[in-house]
Amino acid sequence: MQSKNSVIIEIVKDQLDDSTKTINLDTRFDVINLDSLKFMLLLINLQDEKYNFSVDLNRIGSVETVKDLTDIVSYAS
Amino acid sequence: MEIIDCHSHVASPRYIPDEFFDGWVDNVEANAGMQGEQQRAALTRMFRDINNDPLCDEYVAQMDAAGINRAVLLIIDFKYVYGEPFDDMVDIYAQHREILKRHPGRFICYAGVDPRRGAAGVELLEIGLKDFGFSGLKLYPPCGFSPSDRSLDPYYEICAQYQAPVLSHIGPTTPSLSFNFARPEGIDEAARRFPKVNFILGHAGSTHFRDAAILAEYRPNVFLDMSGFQAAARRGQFSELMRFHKDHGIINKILFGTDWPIHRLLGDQKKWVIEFKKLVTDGILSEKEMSNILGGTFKSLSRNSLKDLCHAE
Repeated sequence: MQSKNSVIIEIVKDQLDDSTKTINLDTRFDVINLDSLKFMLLLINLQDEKYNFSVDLNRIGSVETVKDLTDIVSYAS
Repeated sequence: MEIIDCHSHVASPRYIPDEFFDGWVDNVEANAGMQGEQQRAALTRMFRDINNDPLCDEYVAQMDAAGINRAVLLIIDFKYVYGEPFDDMVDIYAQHREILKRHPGRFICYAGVDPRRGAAGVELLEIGLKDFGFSGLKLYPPCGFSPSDRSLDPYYEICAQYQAPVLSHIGPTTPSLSFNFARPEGIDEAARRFPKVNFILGHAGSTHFRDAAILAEYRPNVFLDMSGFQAAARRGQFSELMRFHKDHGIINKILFGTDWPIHRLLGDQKKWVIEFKKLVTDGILSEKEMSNILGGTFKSLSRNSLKDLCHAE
């Protein structure tokens, strides 16, 4: 079973135009330039039933890196 | 440096109807090529979540974290276009007044009226300015009227009398409404006929901004608010946008605004203030220019009403 972090990294990768880009926990969102539409799709996909994730939207402003994103995503109870 | 967010709304389906966000969902679905019902449901749920702070407690917490001293709450009169009871608007005004009381000194409120209400609408505006302590007029032309229509003259006369600015929406909105009257040039006749009324073109610092910049440059009483800049910020184009305004000599006609709660999915209030302040550290704007954008210009155009408010604290 994949870890939460590796699943999130895969979901972020799915939003990129360039599939060859390397994404890790230190990757900054301002570097990979996700526009607002793609950022919303990222949030939507994180909430896909198959992952059972919950996203704390009140902390969305603190998200600068992929690691920050993993911090506001938890397993839904 | 005092920071004033000149463009926000109370987050509640009472004031921003669910239909409004449902239109945004339609657009995201179409533009992104979304096909799953589950994805649509997730986005709808997120929009419902962010439109749920009816007493502005979360908003004030975010203002505090961001260093925003006060914010303008804009009432939009959607009731006329959606065929809902007129009495409801009076209740909406009363509820906004309660929010002003709940958070003393933190909010400024602009009355919203659809001019097709005629004399009753003029009376409603005057009640808002005189009795409810509101400080300006919010117009939403996508509901189906031109901001330069003669039917608005009595409203503008009252705004001139109370030195109350008019903030009019510019640009596209939810797809169920018309975009016809939401272009910058639509405000030109009104701004010419009422030179003593200050007109703020909502979002026009970031949408239709080239046409809007011409108006701001040549009409002393036209100002542009930046709300909606969040999309440019996400694309990494915000610096370029602000350079455009500086190069066109209108940086002192630009106002800071966030359109809370509309862009909450893209970031919090602190993030947006940081985006602006970064323009100084990056050498694009001076401290003085930033101070004007973040609050100084707004205070100067609000004249009496805001001075009274400041004095009362």
